[in-house]
Amino acid sequence: MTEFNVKSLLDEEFQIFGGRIGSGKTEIAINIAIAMTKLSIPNVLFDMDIVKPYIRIRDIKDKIAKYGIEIIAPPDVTRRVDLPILPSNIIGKLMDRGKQKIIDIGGDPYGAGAIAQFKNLFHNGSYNFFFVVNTRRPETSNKEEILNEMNYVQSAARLKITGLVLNTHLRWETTEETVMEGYRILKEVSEETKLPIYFACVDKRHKDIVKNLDLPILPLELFVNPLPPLGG
Amino acid sequence: MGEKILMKGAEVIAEAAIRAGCMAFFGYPITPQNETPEYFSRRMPQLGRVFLQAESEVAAINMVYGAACTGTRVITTSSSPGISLMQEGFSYIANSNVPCVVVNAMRGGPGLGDIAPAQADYFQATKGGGHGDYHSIVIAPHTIQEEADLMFDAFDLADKYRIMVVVLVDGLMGQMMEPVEFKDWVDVKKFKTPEWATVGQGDRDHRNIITSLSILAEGLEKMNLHLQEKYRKIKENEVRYEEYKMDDAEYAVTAFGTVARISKTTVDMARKKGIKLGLIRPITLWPFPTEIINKRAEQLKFFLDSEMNEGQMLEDVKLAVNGKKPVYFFGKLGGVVPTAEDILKEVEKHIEGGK
Repeated sequence: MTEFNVKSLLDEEFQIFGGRIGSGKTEIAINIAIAMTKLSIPNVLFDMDIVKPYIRIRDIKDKIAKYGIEIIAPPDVTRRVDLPILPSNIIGKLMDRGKQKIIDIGGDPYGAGAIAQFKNLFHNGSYNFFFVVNTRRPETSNKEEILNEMNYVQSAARLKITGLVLNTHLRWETTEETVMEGYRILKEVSEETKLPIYFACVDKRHKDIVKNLDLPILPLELFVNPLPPLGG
Repeated sequence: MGEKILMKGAEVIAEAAIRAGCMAFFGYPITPQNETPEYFSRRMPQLGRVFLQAESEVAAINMVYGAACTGTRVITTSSSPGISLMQEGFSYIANSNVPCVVVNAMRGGPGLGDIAPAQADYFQATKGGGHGDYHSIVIAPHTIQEEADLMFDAFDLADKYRIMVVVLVDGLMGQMMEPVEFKDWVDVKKFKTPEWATVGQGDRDHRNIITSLSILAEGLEKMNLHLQEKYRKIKENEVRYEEYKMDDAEYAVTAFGTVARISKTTVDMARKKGIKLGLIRPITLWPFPTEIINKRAEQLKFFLDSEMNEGQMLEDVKLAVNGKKPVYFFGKLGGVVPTAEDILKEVEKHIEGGK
């Protein structure tokens, strides 16, 4: 098992995570920011989720405060109101050339649309736009469905997807077979689209599940779930 | 049963309803449950079923009423303020004896409140809410899997008793993701139009009339007595609850939905510390599991009722305990969710106080 090295992303200054709602974008974006911070790579984490009412970066800021990550999120006062607000200082922060910019957009085309207005800031070769897939989620369980969703998301975002991320899991019921099956499906997508699978994610407490996977692994520390899993 | 998939509670409600044979959805969007109508809007047209976004909640519940009069499996989903708007329709549905399912993903109130999860609509759901002497069956799942299973039961109970069934969840139960496995699809081709349905006279020698109106008081009294007889049967046959580590318990938490889920962790934490704590979790909030709570009062030193409101189910717990033992309360308001540690601290406080 090889751990994914975030240094391999540094040729591009924007790391954008999109995908179906509930595919794991938020958790992955946070973990990428933590990995970069640990390596002293200057970075900013953007909460651009205008879709979900809870379970966003702004909701767990306290939990990740200890890592000292710079977070750009809508003001706290808007947390419990139903307003699709983007942070007021977002453009200046997106134009900060000195830092890696990790962007968590909301799920589905509705969420992806939030980034389209900043299209002019993203030039070819300046960004990675990852499509995160959990093949155990509805609407992304096979190649055809995934290709459809990718089309919807990139049309709404007005950006081309540049890579895939495997995040197939069933929370505490994930097995090696769950992940391997996801890998088989995503490989078909990769072959059809010629897009690379950059890495696979796994709950860092159960790394053994992916010991036989020939992809770089991003072990995830989990933050966003509001309640502890059933059965410990 | 099929393959396990990872789903949000709000999606599960829609998928399970569809598999249970729900043929029509009428509703109006409101946070934090918009994923449910959104999911219905994708799936229902694929299956040739009805999805209709009404112009308001008032319109939506009257569309549900209309569809229910034809004996069709029908649903609406909403959240607290939207449910308040539907109360008049609920009351009409009750006295018309027609089946339907209503999901309330409760949020913080009163008024516009906020979009955070809450349980403050317990009174509204279990004690009526609308006008008149009526009840709905109210069921409260505490995991996403249970949500998937109970949606099937909700439709079956609605049909069996010709009654409205409320599935009472909160925003958190809608937004959380957990692995689920669905029961097999209900074969809708096997559904028969009920005898009482208003779908045209056909070969019958009379017209079916469905109404909640009676011009004469004696007539209305008769309708009420019929309802009361139905409620008596439901109380006798449909009470559901779960007991968690109650066999040797000296103290018990009573809680439903999300708080019951959190309280299971509290019980496990307490047991690790040698505290004999258990949980009684009503699954049907109406009819309420009065008997078991009363019985358990014999063995317990006290109950701690915990809810995300100011103590609503608390009243039913106290009625059930009937003064036999103290019933304490721990609640959070306005959308604040208690932690397992919060509840344990409260239990320990009362154990200490009793010494």
